Amino acid sequence: MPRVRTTKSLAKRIDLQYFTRRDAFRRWRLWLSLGIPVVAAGWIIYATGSRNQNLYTKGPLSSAHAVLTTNCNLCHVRAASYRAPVPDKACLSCHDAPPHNPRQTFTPACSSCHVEHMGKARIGETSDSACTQCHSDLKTTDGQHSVDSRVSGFDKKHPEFAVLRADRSDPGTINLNHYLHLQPTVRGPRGAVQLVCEDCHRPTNAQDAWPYSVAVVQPASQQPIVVGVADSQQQKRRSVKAGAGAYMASIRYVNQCAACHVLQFDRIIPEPAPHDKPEIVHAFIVKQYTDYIATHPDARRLPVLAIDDGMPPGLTQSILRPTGNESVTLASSPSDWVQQRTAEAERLLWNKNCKICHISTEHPGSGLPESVKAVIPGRWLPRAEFDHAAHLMLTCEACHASIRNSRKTSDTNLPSIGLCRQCHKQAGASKLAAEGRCFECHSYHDWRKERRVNGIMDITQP
Amino acid sequence: MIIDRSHRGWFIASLILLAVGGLLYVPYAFLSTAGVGGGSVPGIIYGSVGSAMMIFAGLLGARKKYRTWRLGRATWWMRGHLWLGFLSFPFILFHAGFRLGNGPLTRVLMALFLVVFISGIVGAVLQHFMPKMMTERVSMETVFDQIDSVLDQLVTEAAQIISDIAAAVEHQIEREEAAEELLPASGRARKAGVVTAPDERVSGQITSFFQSQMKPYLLSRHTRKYFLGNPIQASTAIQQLKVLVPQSLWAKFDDLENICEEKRELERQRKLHKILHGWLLIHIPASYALIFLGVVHAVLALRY
Repeated sequence: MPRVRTTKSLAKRIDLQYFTRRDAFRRWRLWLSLGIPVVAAGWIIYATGSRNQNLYTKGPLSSAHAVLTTNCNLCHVRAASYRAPVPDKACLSCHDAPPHNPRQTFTPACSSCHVEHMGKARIGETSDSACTQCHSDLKTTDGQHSVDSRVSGFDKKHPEFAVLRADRSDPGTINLNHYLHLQPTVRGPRGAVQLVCEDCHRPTNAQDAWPYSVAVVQPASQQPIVVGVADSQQQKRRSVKAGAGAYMASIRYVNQCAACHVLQFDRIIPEPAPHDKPEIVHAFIVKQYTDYIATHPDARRLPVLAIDDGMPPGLTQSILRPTGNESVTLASSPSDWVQQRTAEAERLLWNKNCKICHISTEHPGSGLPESVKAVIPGRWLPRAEFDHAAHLMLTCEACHASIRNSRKTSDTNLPSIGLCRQCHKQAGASKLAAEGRCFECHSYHDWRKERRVNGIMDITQP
Repeated sequence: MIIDRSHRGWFIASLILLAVGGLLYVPYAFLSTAGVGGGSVPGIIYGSVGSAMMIFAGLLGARKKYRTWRLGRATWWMRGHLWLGFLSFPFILFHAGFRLGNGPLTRVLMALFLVVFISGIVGAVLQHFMPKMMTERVSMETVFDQIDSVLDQLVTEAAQIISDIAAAVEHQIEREEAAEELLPASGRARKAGVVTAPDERVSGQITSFFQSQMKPYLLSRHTRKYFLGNPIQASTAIQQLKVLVPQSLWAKFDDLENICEEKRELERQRKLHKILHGWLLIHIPASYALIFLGVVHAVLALRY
């Protein structure tokens, strides 16, 4: 009889108790289901036993804090409850964080802007939303705003630089015509020169000598003592955090102007007048003439040259040459000679040399002029950081394009924000652009008020 | 379980949940001052929702184990397992800010999560065509756990058939020898050149075939090295043995061929069964580990 397979015959083969035993598949499933979680639990227990808290970290710390990776308790301070968040005081135990603005309505927690455990990213690279949470609709404690109240991003929602707005201009009081100074026919100490930007404008950390400084025309021993605002004070007006080369060195007569704008007042006195307050200049001139007449008593017989007011203001030397228009006056005594000579010299200086650059008025009492305080801004964007050193690959005129045609002091020859946007974008490197987030130019903390923080960590000596 | 029209309600609900989660994620991602992350309030909410979905999916095993529980039908739980398990993936991604984990524990968690999710997808896809394939390719399916037992019975059956064939051949030989002795000398001479009956070697060949080929084949799980796994080669070999025996015994060889075919079917069933269910060996243990480590992660993350 042929072998026939039916469901009944097949069913008869089945052991009716088969379901009470696990087959290999089900055994494997059971052991794996127990074994893998046990391995996972063993891993956790081992890490806990070896106090390896790094197991639970959200991610690696930033480069600056990487040394603290195995010391979670330095930042994660255990509160009374189970939780161990990072309070602000943990950050402040190592870092000072000067407040942003006394009129801000709330102070965000350190960790809300400076997010850790994100790997090697700089912890100072805060997201724009940390700033725009306030500045997109700015509110202050007194309701007053000194900045635009709706700033929500650099690409589109950032106002033009304040100094370039319609109602602003260069506040400088020194007459300066860039157009003239950049002509090839400008007369220098040894003939015509072609000035370039670097002749007058250099970063603060530049070491090489100024090409048109007082040293060109005057021996070091005779150079005037510099008086005025010290560099350190100027630095304080700028950002304390600015790196070397960020800003340009101050414009000072002795560095940038002295070689061409020589304050020589009399051909018989080789030393030029100091670039200083009128009373000091007056005292200098009087002393020079007094010393001269003491050593040259016959000079009293020399005529005192009177300056023809009709002559155009020009270089001092041409004025000092006799032209035939002078009236000749002989002094009756040495002091009279000094007085006459001083008057003429000061007339030359106050009415010609100084007036080329300075705005001045006559003081009613002393008869000496009073110059309007020279204001040459050293930092044009007081609420932002700008680093010239980071932009060294550009030519000066790439940004300061209007300089060659600038004839007036009031011209503000700064680039507009649109020019900056050509390179700087909010998305930064991800859009193959320079960084454009808020932190690139602005600092939340007012570092001028930074205070020293004493460290709290100790190192076990080997 | 096949995803068909009966899943429509779950599909729509999942779609709505996903849309809501995604729409809420967008402003959260753009406006967050500290960036998206699991430690933020929205991040914790996303993580909690995703974890709840995973735990619900994990409870399917308990529901299937305790069938008398009156907590909804098993099919309802199965649908929930599929859809909420699927939905947990985007919610966990929202929770993690689309990062795959930066710390050791979070990396392992994300790796386990991907293993569970992908194995689950594979399993769900297999469920849609493997059962039909098994029905088509395995005509006489048996209980998977009993395949080895059935194969033992097949070996016993085949041994019996071989024994019957051998006995029949021996009997035939004896009869031929007895008949030959009764023939006159001239008749024996005429018969000498004609082979009309099996001799002793045939029985040995058949027995040797069974011992060296058929029995190992029936008992082996790696059948590729045996020619009996190929139906054409098996048929050819058995035909070669068939012609050595009287026609009355040919039906027995047909039975042997039938047994080899049944073996092939059983192996086919075993292979398809492993494909259909093998992913569970990864999916289930990984999901237990995922839930355990997920609890550890939640407790410690909330602490820090």
